[in-house]
Amino acid sequence: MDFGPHLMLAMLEGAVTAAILALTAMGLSVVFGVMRVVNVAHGEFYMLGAVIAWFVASTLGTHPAVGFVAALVIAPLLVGALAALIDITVLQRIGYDPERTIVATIGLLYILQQGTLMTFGPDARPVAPPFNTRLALPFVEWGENGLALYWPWGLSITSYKLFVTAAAAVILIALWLFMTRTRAGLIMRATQQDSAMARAFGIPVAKVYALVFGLGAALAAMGAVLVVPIQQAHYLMGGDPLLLSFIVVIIGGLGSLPGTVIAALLIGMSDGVISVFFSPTLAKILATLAVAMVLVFRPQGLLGKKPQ
Amino acid sequence: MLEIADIHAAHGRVPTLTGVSLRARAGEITCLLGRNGAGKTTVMRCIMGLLPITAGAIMLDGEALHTLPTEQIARRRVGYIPQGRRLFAELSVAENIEIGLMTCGEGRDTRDWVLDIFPRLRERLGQRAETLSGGEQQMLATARALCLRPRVLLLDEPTEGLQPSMIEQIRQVVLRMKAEGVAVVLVEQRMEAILSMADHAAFIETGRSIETVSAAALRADPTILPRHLGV
Repeated sequence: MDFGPHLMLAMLEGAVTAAILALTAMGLSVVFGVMRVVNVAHGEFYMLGAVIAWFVASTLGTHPAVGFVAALVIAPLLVGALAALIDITVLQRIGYDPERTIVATIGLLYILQQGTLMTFGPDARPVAPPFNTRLALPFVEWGENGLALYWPWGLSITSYKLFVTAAAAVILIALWLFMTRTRAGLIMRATQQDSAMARAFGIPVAKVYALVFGLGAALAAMGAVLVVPIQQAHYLMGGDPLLLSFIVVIIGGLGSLPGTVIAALLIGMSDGVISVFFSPTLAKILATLAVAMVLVFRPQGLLGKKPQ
Repeated sequence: MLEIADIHAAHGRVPTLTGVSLRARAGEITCLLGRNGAGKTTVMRCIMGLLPITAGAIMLDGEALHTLPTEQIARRRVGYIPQGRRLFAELSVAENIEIGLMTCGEGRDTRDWVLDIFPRLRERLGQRAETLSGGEQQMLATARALCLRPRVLLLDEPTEGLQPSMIEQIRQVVLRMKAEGVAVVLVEQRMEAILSMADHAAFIETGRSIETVSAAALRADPTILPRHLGV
């Protein structure tokens, strides 16, 4: 394949990575932005979303589309409810103290991971995509009669991967509308800016925190349900999304939702392109290097605010 | 009536209040006075439940406030205008007002009432709070508290850093609240504001109440303020 079509293919793969990453990192960013909690167990909520998606789809055993839609509803709800419960029973009790929260979420990471291993087993489990038509894509070339379309061999993508990108965009737009146009979103933003004053104006901050922690986990679970027909569910699958989410959130600016989306696009697209042309390991190395550079030259991230 | 009876509080192991008492009656302005670091802001924070008291009691019309969480205290229509305003800086003027309205389930009538008091805010509804001038920010902080239709209004240095015309506007609003039967607790440094507004003055020193006098006594005895405040 020529370089141009090859690059286009890499960028399409990168767009899928970016879409999933944006959802997962958005969950981490919302939690940090509102609660100032660094949730080390975030990747395990992602993993749980994938495992529950497999369980729902395989239990229903009907048409893959039915199982997938059921998983897309049930997995985020269950994972979100579990996270809210963890917030109430663990994080609230330690007062969201930063150090203790990190230690607690590390413990939670292992509990969720090993609990899944003990119940779900060590095998990777597939979930059938609801549809998976391979779509050949055209490219342009300069011919004798000017620009013309042609169909390079191997330049194609599945309809499901296009759906993943579109679905992630729809979910992120819905999240943005929720945060900016609803009363609950307004309460979350007020709590994010000054939790003490939020309480002084009647906002039940403890309930808001539980809701936000649940929402963050549900976003990770949604990302996982979307990705599981491509990657398979596995009890160790939470590691990479956690690392990449932290990279995205730091580059985008801690707590900045627009920054998180921009950074997810940058990291996801570069991951796709570098993985195709070189290797996935190099992509991770460069992403980690980018974080180091951001921390040195712009510690607040692309769109984050400098601490007062 | 808001009644504070011998409250004690501490930051960690360091005691900050060691016996403060105060009464704020409906339709009266009680000034809480003391030198810098005396504990005035700490008293305000204790009333709002933002700092727990370790002894004593804070009662509002016979109900114990000190046992309630902060959000429940606000819902008893206790409006708080903190020192430094502490607006939700990245929210718009309209959103800051909406937060105030939500506290006690107030609606459009209260919104219009508040915006009639501060018509300049009506022109700035879509603007982010952090982009307002200092005076406009104080208006917004006051408006946000008024959205509760407060029974008690706590103002912590509301005229700090404001120009004279703005100070007069805030003073008029405080007097209007008094006329409407609100119990006002005011922390203020400016002597003319204290003498022109206060019905009572409660002095505290290093976290303890030392004297409470009426406004008449304050005006009649010019030595009281210098004695306690060193001015």
